[in-house]
Amino acid sequence: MKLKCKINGAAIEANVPPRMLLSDFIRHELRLTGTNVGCEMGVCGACTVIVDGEPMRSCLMFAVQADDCSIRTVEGLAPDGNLTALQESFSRHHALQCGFCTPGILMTLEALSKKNALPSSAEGVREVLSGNICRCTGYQNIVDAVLALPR
Amino acid sequence: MNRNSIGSSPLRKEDNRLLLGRGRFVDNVHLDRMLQGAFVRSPMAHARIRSIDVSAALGAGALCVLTARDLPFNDKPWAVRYWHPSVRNGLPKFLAIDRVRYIGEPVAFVVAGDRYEAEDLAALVNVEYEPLPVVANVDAALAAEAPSLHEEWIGNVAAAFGHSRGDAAGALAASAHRVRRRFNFGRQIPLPLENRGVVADYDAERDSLTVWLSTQVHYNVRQNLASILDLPEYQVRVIAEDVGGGFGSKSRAYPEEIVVSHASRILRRPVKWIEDRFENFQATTHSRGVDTEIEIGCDGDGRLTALKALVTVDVGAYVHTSGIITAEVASAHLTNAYIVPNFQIDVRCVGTNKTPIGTYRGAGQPEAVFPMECIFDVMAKQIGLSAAELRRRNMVRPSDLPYLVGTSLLGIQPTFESGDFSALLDLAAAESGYSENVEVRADGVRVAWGLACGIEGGGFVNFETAQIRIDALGNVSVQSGMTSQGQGQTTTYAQVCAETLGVDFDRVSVRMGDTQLVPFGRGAFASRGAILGGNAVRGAAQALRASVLDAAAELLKCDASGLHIAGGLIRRASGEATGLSIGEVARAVGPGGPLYAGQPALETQHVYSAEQPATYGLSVHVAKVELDPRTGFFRLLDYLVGHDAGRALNPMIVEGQIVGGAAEGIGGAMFSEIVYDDEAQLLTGTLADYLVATAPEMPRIRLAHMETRPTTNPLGVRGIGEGGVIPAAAAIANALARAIDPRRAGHEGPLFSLPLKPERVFSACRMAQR
Amino acid sequence: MKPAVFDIVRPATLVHALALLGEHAQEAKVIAGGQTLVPVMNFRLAMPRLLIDLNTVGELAGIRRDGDVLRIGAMTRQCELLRDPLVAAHAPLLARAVPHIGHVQTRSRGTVGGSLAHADPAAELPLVMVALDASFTVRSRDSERILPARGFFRDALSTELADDELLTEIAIPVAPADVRCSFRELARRHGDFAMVAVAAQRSAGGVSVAVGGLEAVPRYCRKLVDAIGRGAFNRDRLPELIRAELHDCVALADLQASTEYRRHLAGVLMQDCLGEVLAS
Repeated sequence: MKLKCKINGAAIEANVPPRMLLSDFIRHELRLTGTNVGCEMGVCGACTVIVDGEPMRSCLMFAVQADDCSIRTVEGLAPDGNLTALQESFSRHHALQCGFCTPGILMTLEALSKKNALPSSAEGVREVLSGNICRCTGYQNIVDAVLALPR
Repeated sequence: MNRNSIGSSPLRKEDNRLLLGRGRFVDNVHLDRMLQGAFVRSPMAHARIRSIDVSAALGAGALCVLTARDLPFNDKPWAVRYWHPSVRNGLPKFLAIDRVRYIGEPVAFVVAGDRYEAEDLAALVNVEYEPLPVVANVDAALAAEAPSLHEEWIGNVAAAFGHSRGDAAGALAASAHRVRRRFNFGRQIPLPLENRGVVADYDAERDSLTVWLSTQVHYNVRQNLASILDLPEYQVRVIAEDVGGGFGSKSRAYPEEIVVSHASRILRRPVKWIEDRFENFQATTHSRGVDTEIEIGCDGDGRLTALKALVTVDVGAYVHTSGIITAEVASAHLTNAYIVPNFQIDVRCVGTNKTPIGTYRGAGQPEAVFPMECIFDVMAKQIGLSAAELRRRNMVRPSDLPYLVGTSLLGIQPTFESGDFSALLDLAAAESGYSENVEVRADGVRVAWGLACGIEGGGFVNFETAQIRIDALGNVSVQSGMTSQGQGQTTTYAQVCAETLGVDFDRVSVRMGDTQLVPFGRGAFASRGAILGGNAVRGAAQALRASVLDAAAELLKCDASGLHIAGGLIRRASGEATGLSIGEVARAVGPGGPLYAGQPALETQHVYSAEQPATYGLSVHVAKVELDPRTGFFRLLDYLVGHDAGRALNPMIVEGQIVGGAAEGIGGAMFSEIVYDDEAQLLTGTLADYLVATAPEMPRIRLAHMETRPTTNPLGVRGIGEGGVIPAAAAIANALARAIDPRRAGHEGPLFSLPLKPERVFSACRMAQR
Repeated sequence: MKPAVFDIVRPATLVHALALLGEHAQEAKVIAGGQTLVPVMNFRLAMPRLLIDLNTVGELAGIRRDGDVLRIGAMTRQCELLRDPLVAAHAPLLARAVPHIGHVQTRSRGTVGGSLAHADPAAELPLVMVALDASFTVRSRDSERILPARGFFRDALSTELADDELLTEIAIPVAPADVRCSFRELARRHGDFAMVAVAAQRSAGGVSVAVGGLEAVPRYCRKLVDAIGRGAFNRDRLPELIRAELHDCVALADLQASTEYRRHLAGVLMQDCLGEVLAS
């Protein structure tokens, strides 16, 4: 089935089976392997991408449902390799260890940031991250990295 | 302190690629002509395999379907690194031959063009099972006439052993005070966010195999692949470049990598298998699942006289290549940080029709500390001492060092040789604001503190390699036999090399996770990264520094002792520049250079071998809970970890490990439980049912540091990967027990079963009311 | 965990969607937000041959006030309930419940209608609709009917919807100006399905209270509501009235809570919620 969409600003045309998950389309058809897959049932949040400005679980969409949509993945944050303020803050605050959950968390925060909806309290940040599991950091440094961003 | 130093916190070298989404996790590997496979796994907990019909799958387009009868190596043994003498076999098969013993056991492997197709075809493999009576839990396993899981496991006991000192029974009988309780640390899973996975690429022309694998133990996997598949070991390469967490679930060789590699060999094409989360729940080793019946005795002053315990571990259906580490570690550390003159600790590993047990962060230490620290609080109430004071009276003191615990573990006699445990306890109590009072609010909510101490051992498995090379431009390249799953070794090893050698941190690149880098290595587990891996780098850097200075001295026609290296430049003792750089020395020493004497480059290779492989340290956890006795729901208001990491190579990374560990410990204490029903059906088989801590549930973890230097290794480091987990459950249980009733005991029973589900806490509240 | 093979149709209009559903009711499933359906398909617990994608039916989304009701299109995303000022103004009880539903990433895609049609016993939206006495417009190719929320949920994961019917719109009575609301939930973690949840609302016209997560379907506490009535009420009577209300409930049991414990929690939350809305 045909599909036309925008990925990180680039126009993409593809022909894929209806059952191909958006996460697999991104990773294996487009070879944008930054988005990770942790559960394929919409719980862990590792596969979070931005679709038409909203953070969504790419394992719960079929690629063909992204027709006519504009998608952003982690590769689109800093295409030339110059880390964004958020990414830099992550490194400065040691907000990642194995890095597997990191793209999903970055995209969740990026979507909120673009809407000026990033919480300004630790409790608020923890709440918006409730849908992202991290097994390494204990979340604390991630919260600090977000709160340290210039507003 | 600049970033070239040990003890500074330069930002991690790993971060950039991970933040940009350029990690090299195994599922990111795409090779030309690559195929994908799916395993057919047993849906039965216990059954005989009557027949396997693969014709439909082959007819529908499967490129190959492997079952046990297609494997030429069924009788080849696993290469096991260490095996407790009491274990009565029970190693898993590569693919089930005539019997399946747990849900998820691999039965067949189907290869197709992609994973979607592979799953379609796997559904067409027709396995005829003949159900066998199920051994659903330890009680069922030990009952008379119980079905036998393995011939060698008499009475379904896979292993039994013990530790003893003195006369525990006699000493207990003579004790002024005795307390006896039973504890259950529920079964849990390590649950790394990245599932397992392998890409195997067999090159027929070269009889060589390259395997990308999400693993912690690439060399052990290489050894197994080589010996089982009958390939020359140095023609097998295992690569684990970026691994999304391991926590002990990936610290063994699994059947899947053997089978997938064989498929690649047969098909002469690369074959990929990526575990999905459903499989991860069933077929990656579980852990914890330890039941402890424990009795302690004290004299009139609260000094321990004796400890008697029966530790029962539900090991599941097989014993994997990592043996019964959890059982060994739990029993060897049951005495925790205390002097116990008499003890009798009996251990039995019991088989059931469940997923086999492996290691999981802490690997037996949390399971040992939970009963000991909780029963201590009960004893404190009985005697009328504060919980903190009872601990102080029994802790190993600096004057007792070196202190032999009296147990044996992995061929080692656990020995405490450094640290001031009481001082750390006092520090943690003071910094946290710990008190043994309970605050009762107007609405009935109760607030209380609890504490627990946990001994953490790190290292254990000896030998690690590092190789360091300097190029003609003065760049330094370190290769290590370790792996990383995010612990920051690339950064800390660069710091060790930079300081020891005398070069800039930015000029040092570090690589690991590839068996091609150095001939021998082990990997990341048992918190050995700093102790073994770090000291290997130090040893190599020291040797290289000596080589550089010897060569420089020859070039400069002076004494090497008058020279040192700073910023990659050779300087005199006075600090005066010599005009010589390490890059120039490299050129001089290499083939064609004036100092050439047969070596291909300016490099050293060093295998670090520890005289005392295990290094111990203490961590103290202090938790403040707020409990609503109307519902049993509670939350953590405050949490502090007091820690002695020895020398912190990179304080930022050390703290990250402690906080991350605490999150796992807290989450495990509050939420995580693997549940099987009476037919050994896995009830908690997805992330919807098996719960882990998410950001809103976690308190902010505060840290209190103390630094004493262990004498066990030249760097003076302790392992810090696991201390964050170890006493967490006990600290929280103790806080709840106190919140419910600070003075009397008798209500804590429901709190001695993990996790601390609200209904269990509510039961404890109810019991206290009577 | 990849789904089995299927075909997908992406109709642009409701009429087309209903026609497709009418023709393929037996072998087709509609997909709304997919937050519940896709996991089930990934596990191959459901293997529909045809998916009818409602995400392309623009007319099914939207929130508007229509006289004394607030109308919410079934395909309205859950996050819109948090963003649209009409909800905060006219259905404050609903606004209070939404932050408990899932997570940021599920609310951006999950729909109001999808959650209601799925009828999970522990879901927040069915509970709130029962408390609010909402009405659902249900359409098939050839028919349209209006069903009260209190009666829509038949059993766990089972509703009045026929195979060929779609829930298209939810109508909520606009809250009176003097309304007081309370929504409380006990869950293991933030965003998890409720172990037990209570939604309560009070105005001069009377009180409404419903319990979710306790039984197979949300329970509108009719006995309790009638006992409280309108006007002045002595809150000391609450414990006994709550006990009477819950006396015959058929509480669920699962890994999180036993029947007795669940019933106990329901009582505690009802006490707290009603205490809050009945305070003078």
